Amino acid sequence: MNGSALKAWWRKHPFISQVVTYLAPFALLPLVHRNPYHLDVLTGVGIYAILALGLNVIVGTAGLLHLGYAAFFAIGAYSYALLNIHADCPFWLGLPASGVAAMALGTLIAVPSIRVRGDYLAITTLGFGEIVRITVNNLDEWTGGPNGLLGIDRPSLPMHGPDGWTLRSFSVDPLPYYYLVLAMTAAIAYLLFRLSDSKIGRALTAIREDELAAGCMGVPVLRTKITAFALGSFIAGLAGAVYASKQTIISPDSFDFVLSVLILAMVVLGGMGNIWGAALGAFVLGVLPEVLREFAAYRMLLFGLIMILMMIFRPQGILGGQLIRRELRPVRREVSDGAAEVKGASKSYGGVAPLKNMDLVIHAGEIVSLIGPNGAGKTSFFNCVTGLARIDAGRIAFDGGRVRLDGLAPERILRAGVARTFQNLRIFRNMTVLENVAIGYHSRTRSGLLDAILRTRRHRVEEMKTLRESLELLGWIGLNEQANEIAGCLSYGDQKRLEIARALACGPRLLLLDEPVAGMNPTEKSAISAVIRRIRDRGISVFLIEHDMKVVMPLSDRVVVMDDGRKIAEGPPDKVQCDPRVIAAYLGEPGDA
Amino acid sequence: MLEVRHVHTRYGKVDCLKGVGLSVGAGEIVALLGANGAGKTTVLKTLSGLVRPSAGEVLFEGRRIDGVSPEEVVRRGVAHVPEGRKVFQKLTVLENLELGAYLRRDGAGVRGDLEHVFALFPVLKQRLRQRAGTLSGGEQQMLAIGRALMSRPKVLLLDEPSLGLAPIVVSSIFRMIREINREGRTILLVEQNARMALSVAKRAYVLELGEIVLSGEAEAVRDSPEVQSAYLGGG
Amino acid sequence: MSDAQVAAALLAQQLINGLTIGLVYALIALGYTMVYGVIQLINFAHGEVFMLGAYLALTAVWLLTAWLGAPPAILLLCGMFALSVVGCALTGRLIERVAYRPLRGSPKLTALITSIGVSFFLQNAVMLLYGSREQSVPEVLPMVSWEVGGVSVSGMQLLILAVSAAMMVGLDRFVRRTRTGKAMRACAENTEAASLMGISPDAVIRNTFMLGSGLAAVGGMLFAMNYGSVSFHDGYLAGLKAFTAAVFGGIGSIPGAMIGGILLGVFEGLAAGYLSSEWKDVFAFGLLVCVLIFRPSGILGENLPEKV
Repeated sequence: MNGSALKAWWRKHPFISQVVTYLAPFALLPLVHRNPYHLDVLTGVGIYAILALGLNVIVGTAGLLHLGYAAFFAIGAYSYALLNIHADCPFWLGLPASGVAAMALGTLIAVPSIRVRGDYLAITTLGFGEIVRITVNNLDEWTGGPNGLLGIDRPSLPMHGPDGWTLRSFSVDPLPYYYLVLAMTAAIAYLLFRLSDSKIGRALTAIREDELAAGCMGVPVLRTKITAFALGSFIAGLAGAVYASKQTIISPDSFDFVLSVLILAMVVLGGMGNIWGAALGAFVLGVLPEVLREFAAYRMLLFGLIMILMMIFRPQGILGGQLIRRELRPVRREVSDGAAEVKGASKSYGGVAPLKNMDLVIHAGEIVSLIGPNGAGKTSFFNCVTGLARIDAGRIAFDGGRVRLDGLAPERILRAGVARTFQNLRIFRNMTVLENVAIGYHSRTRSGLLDAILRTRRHRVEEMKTLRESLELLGWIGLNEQANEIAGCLSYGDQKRLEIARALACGPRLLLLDEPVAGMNPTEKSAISAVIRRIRDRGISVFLIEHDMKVVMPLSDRVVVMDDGRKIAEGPPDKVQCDPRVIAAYLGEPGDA
Repeated sequence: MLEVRHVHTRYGKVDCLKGVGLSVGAGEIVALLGANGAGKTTVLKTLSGLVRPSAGEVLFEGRRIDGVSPEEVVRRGVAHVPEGRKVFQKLTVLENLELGAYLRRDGAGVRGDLEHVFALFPVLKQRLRQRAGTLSGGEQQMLAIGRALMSRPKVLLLDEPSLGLAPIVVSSIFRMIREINREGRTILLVEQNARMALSVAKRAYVLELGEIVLSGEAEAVRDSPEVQSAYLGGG
Repeated sequence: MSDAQVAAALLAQQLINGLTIGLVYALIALGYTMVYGVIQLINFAHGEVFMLGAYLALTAVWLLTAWLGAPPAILLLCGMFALSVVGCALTGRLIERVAYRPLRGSPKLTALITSIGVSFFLQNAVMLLYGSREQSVPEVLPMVSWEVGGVSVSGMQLLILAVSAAMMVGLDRFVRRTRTGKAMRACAENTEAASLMGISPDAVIRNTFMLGSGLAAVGGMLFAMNYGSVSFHDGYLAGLKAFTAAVFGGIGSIPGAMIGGILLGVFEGLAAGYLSSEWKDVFAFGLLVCVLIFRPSGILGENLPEKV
């Protein structure tokens, strides 16, 4: 390759160039500075970096606070140690095995825990971490108990010497470990970069941003979270094997809660969700104890102080990660006609009955508006149709009665062809406009985690299609100029429009809009009305809740009026406007006094 | 007594109130009407200190109260009965009422006011030791109003007292509201049920999408065609 | 004694021992539950406040013994009580003001991370002040115990029972009868509505922290006297177990924390007696994990529906 082709390739692969640029100094360091103690410290920092990168996937990218990460580090270390001691397993085989063992445990823990709410999840992981540590400590015959295991083999590499090829094992010299750890850090960072810029990475970010909205847009939230957990655990397992082979002695004390918090602090310090942030955090907190050797007694004190000050003054970390936001298969796309039918839907809880025997029919290609006074039950109705709430009686059917919607999870309802927007605007604020829309395609494509990391053909093809169609959709709705802007920076009217585009990206036959023009000025309102008409013209039925009658009446084919959980009137707009029952519901009876 | 001048309030990016101005004189009942999303609750929250306006002033008895903490607003004599009543479900009726008098130090006065509340809402006396969560919607509304009265406010802010209540109950609540006003209490009443509100109020304002679009004497507002279109659009 | 009588005596002994530690857990758990009820924060540092209470009680004994030579037990008890309760209440108030108040509107996970930082800081500060070795607590009360049918009950255990019962009754009275207590309950239910009554949420939160910390201090004092030694590690484990108790009983519920603490202590005692003392911590953590996953509202809590 000649010079300019090399440059072009370099620019086209930003991840490789970043990884090489930032880690090259470390690769070259031993050529000029050979102090074995310093190299040893840096190797330790490297192991921390691997751990931080792994935890960053769980905490930073998916937004799940994990306080028991040291347990997976321990599983990795003990797995390799046991395989090596009892089965003479060489390091290079033990390394992936440890990763798999840790991943298995991680998945096992994640499956029951993942439904637990944010701060409780943190404590749950803490509990599991302690259980693992105490178990390891107590199973004397297997794990050596508090004394741990010793005599673990170091890695060995074939070397060419005077006697031909022989297997030379690493020794106490830190240099080979240094390069091993550096290479692993580079490889893991690179693969994680690929993940972040992929369909799964986008899904993880969306989950962190707004789990509820992500689920409603078709992201399989629980499954994706478990995937993040598994991946993070795998990486911890790898680090564990390296650690065990380097120390050759391991004991349960090294894998305590303080270590879990330390790794977490590294991730948070550098910036949650930021890959280089995790590495930077590992570097700072790994090197700091060495630099402040005289203050060793104050280490924990300073550590606690750093965490407190960081959260108060710079919670996004040094490099600026993302704050943890709100607590958010092969698909056969049936072509349905967007007709929905609700019969006798009722819901009540705690003495309140927001829905009382509600009946409604939406025909294909209609725009139906749902109006009614405050507290009539309109949003409850929407939530029941989209799976965020359950009806107690009645049925909700879609696609000419063929698909029953009541009781299904939001993700399934989306795949059946019903998408929605939210009254309080739940876009993914820290993702770009394009990424927001692309989430809509998540359930319409098949690639998974492995596809994303390994950049298989299927992933590349699907991503191209996703991005191209997302751009088209943005163009159609008039937002293509802002495609790469951060969604949070858009004007309010554009954000509402983005939410509609995102819902359209899910490929629905029925679109539910919850107060689509709330808070907009008249110009924006008529623009959105026009968009809604064009959506209908594309063959998508539209069902909307709105309060602004100047928008509702000219736009709708039919208006349904709800009051006190029931339908009290329906028909074309002009009829409904004059209906005395409707007027009474809003303005009160003429005899009221 | 209560004056709102050119108040603008934002929720995040949305301009909720755009230059709202209204006034309530001593001893009046003034109604604030409008459809959902018009901003009526935001006006009350701005008055009671739960929300800070981004521009404009709110004056009570000549002193500014915009941006003042809710506790201080209560101390000055403005009591807000929030939308949805928000009584303390796990506390008894008596405890709810006692908390209404949280800031008061005059034991005898408090006891006298308690009797007065019982006279207004006898059912509360019957359910004195029951947990507030077990009361019906209408009873909770009476409790919420009674609780606000316990602070001996000069102005009472009522947010949608008819919400979710059966028509019979609504009529009796409004009868009591009229009674409270007759005793000399100034009331600012936010309601969606325009007819009901106009039957008790002396003056009214109509809020539409954050702006006052109509104001005047109650009968004039009631008969104006703009009210109907403000709610139902079109003509 | 027959075998059955021996077995029964053993069971009774385990129950009594478990009840004793359970009451201490309950005192600590109250702090967790009250703070969570008001600001939905898991105050990770609370366990360290308990540990601080133990150390302050010890300090009081040292000081009084140094000044007065051989002070009477009642004076020692009062001194320990005063120093630990006041010291911890002030510490709790300081922590709230400095570390948690600035984060009032932040995501809950940010506040949780901060509370972990506070706990590390506090733990280490105590270690630096008092040394990293375990400190033994001099005898304050004469060691008496009574034996009834093969079951021994020590004077210390009775003291713990009496003091913690008094504290819990006192707390219950306070929360249900006093103006401040009612304000705390109102705030825990709906902070916004409470502020419309003229209740200052800041003041309520401050009082909650002080109250919770004071109770934990008493727990620390009793703990120190019962086990005869204190170590700066004690806070972490006891804190987690007390948190388990609080969630088990129903977070936000004061009776729940009391019941949860007692039950946890009893179960743990039984597990230690009949299974193995090595695994008793695993039992507590296992309970914690199970409650959080399967019934996060606990025994006395309402089933919290996910709000949309």
